[in-house]
Amino acid sequence: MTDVYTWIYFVLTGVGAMSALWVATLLRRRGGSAKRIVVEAECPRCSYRGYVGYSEGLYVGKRLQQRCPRCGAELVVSAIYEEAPPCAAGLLFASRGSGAKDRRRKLKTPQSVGGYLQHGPTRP
Amino acid sequence: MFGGLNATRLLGGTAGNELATWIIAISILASTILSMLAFLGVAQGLQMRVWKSQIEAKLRVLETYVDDVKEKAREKLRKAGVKDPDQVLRRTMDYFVIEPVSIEPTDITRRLERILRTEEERIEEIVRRAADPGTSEVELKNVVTLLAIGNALNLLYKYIRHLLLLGLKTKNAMLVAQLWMMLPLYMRIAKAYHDASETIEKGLPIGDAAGPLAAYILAKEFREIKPPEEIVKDTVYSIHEFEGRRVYIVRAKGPGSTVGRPGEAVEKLVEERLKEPLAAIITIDAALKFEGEDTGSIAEGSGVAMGDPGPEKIRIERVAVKHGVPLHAIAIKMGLEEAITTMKKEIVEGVSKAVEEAKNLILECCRPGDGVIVVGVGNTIGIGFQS
Repeated sequence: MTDVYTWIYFVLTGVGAMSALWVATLLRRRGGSAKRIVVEAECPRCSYRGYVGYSEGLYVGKRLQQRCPRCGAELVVSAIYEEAPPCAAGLLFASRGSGAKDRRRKLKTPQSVGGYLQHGPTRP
Repeated sequence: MFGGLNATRLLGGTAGNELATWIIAISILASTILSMLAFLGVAQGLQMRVWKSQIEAKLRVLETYVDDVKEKAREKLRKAGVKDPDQVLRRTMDYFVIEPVSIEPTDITRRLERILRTEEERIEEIVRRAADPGTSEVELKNVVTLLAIGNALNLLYKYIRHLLLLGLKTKNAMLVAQLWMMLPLYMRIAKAYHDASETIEKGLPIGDAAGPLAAYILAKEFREIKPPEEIVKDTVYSIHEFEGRRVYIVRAKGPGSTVGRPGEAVEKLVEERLKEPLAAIITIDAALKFEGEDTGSIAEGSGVAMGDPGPEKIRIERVAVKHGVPLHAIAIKMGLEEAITTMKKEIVEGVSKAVEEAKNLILECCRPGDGVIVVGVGNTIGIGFQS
């Protein structure tokens, strides 16, 4: 019987340690460096809006080589900003505190697309 | 069993009593010695050692920040064709500005303006002389800003090191304690500057570019009458029409990193270029929020929304007083770190709200046929013009 209790003790300790490590890893990801640069582009002729991949040298107002999928005009960069990825700690404690609503909202935000143009309505 | 002795026997009976007596005696002796040492200032000395080691650790972090920014600037200078980047760094990292005499206030803003412009022009000249003649204006402006960040970080590092060494040298525990307590704030500023260097290096818009971005969107949405023209150094204006009102949009010239001279531009515009009656001057700028306020929230107020040390702001105030023009301000709220690092989505959303607010202000404060000046105040890094 003693052996059985010893095994239960070891298993519970192991599970506890693993859980603690998992939580610590999630919390460490808070405010991590994996922030993305999002570049919004719009068509000056038909007001189509979409995302383009970031590359150095882009600025707001710059004409892009990509064409508008609706009317074929050159797209223009309309905004460049930084977007944080969904926060793992926020997921974990999503029901806690006043920031929980914001964090849940962030998770629903359409994520930016790198390297190509995303079609359709883009603004949430 | 402990080392072959039976613990039960050791702690019981006569032997146990003797051991307890010894333990009590040693405890009393130790506490007496510690109390005497505490009165003699040893505790304070130990505390100072703890503070010193913690400040030194932060200083090492600060030193890596300075080195990192220097390396980025060195790389940028090399790309700009500078043969000896270290010479440029040596001249700009320790560049200092002496405040004008303040006990004689006559013309103090003009004197301050002269000093600040000398600094700006001098740093630009050092970089321009060393760089390849073909280097773009945008690249030059970004390098100058990167050097300014390096200068600020270097000064902060030297100031903290100075306070620590002075405190240790004079055995001034209060000075060291004060420094230790203020260190989280200093480190917050240092980290913001360090993060800003990365953004500047890439040429991305920063939070402070909210004003110019609002001006860009307004210029895009209003019917253009006159395309952007440089009115004073690094500052442009364009003329637009909105619901019968003539809107003059002023902002710094992007997409390079510059704040321009909005005060001088507005003054020149009102005195020399404006033909119709001026109904209002509206300034849109990024403003530091209070902790707890939402990033990207906006507020309307009166006065000139501008974070300059005074010379540019006073020019707009003076011209408004001279012509009896109301001064309206729209602030886009953000934290210190957010103002100098890559623009966040919340700020872009705040800019959209500020644009709507500016449109309402124009409609409410001006009648058709009137003129209104809208100034997008802030750094124009990453904000160009729609051609």
